[in-house]
Amino acid sequence: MAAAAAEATIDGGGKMIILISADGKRFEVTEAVASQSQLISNMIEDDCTENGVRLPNVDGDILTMVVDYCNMHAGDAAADGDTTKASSTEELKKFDAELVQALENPVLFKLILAANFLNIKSLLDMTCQRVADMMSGKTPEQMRETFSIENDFTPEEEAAIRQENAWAFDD
Amino acid sequence: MHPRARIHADPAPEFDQFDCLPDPVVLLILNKLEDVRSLGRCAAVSKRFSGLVPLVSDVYVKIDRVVATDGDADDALNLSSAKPKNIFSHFFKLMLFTIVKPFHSMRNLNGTGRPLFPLAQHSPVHVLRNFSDVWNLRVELPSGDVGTEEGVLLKWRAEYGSTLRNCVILGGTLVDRKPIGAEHESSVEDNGSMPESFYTNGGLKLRVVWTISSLIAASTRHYLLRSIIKDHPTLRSLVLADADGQGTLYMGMEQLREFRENKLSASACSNRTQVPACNMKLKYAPYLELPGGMTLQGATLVVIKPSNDGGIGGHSSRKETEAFVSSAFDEPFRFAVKALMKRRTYLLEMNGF
Repeated sequence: MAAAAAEATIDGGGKMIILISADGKRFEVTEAVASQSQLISNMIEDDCTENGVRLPNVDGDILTMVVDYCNMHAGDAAADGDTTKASSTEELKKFDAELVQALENPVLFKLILAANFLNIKSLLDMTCQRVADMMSGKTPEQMRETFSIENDFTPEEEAAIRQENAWAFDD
Repeated sequence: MHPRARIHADPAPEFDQFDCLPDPVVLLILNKLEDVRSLGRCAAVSKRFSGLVPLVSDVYVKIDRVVATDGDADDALNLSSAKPKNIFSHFFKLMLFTIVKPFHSMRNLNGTGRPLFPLAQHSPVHVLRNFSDVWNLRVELPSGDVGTEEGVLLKWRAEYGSTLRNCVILGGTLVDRKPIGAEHESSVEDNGSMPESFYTNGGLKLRVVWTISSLIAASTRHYLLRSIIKDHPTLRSLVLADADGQGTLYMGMEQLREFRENKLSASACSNRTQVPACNMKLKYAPYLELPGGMTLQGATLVVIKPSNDGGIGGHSSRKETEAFVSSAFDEPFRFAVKALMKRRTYLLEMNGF
């Protein structure tokens, strides 16, 4: 896959970079794929990717997902081959939907954190939207349960805020 | 991925998933939540959430019920009235009577007004006071304001500053496909002009009623937004739409700024802002086939601009108006607008009301 992407890019975008996860896993990707991360894109510009890019806050499992996502979406930025565009847009949508649907809480939040750290806007938007969808329509109790959030209000404080936000509670 | 396995392996209590996320990311999530009711519930989840919810910049308010009230519209926004009453239709008829005078034989009303004043117990004004940093606000009314006959499509989009800037109205009868036999008849009639019968069979009258009803609906909505705009100096865009997709009032950053700088001119009955004297361009096609198999019969496009454009903050070029018109609606109606733009133009003038 990486080789194909390397051929498809014309001007030096085919250069490979090594990404190294917190637990030492190595991923070889093209510059075009990696530069969807604004963080890495800046590093490429500053010419400091020679010895591989160490990502101390991203686990190998999570980085695998991020690299898959970037490989899948590399075509977006490159904007080549208009003939295949329509089908690949469909494919991308399906890929994104499946990726996000499959995510369970701890992994979803780790992916958000990675997308935020690497500064990949589309991935950050997509994963945050997933959390928002999970919160939508839930009661405070259900939200606490879903995300293991501790209720740190005193009963009085909680009663007061519910009173204040009464408009949010009657159906 | 495997919460069950994880719980078995790790007997420690589950940790708060949000603990790992910095505030800006939690805010990003809350901005995507948008819906004001969900946000209000979020605020009751934890101290951290209750601190972040007021900082949300994208808010979407869906209004479930609309209550008509007597008296000042400010009251209508803040309180539920003891005696709700449909004054809109009364006022609507009155206004229409005065407008219609310049045109001949237009006494019958096709559209009936529905009450427009949103809110019952919890007004959006009140609810929105919980948010101090709103940039983009969308408000949705439960239904369109202009009543139409079965099968009639009426859509409008208006841009407002302190007064009307631009308005575009698309109307017609939406049918599944062209009726058999109509093709021949239409091709005869369709010489690019309005048919003669249009002036006598009420076709033109109906279009004038649509136009005026839409303008009244738009200016009433505009008036309702005063308190919200005053309360939220951070606003950058404001959309007031309805669940039927009939009308959309839009104010962008520049329009909001101009709104704040200039005084509103209320109309005589003070339930809406004054509609300025306008030039209207009307375009007509006997039928239009839309993408997706529907046909719009008697398709009419009305583009409205204040006649003294260049006055209050309005100096939009012809190009801007064209861009506004062609992007006013979503497909397939965007297609209809494009097709109608190519038709012959009929110019009409209208006094302010």
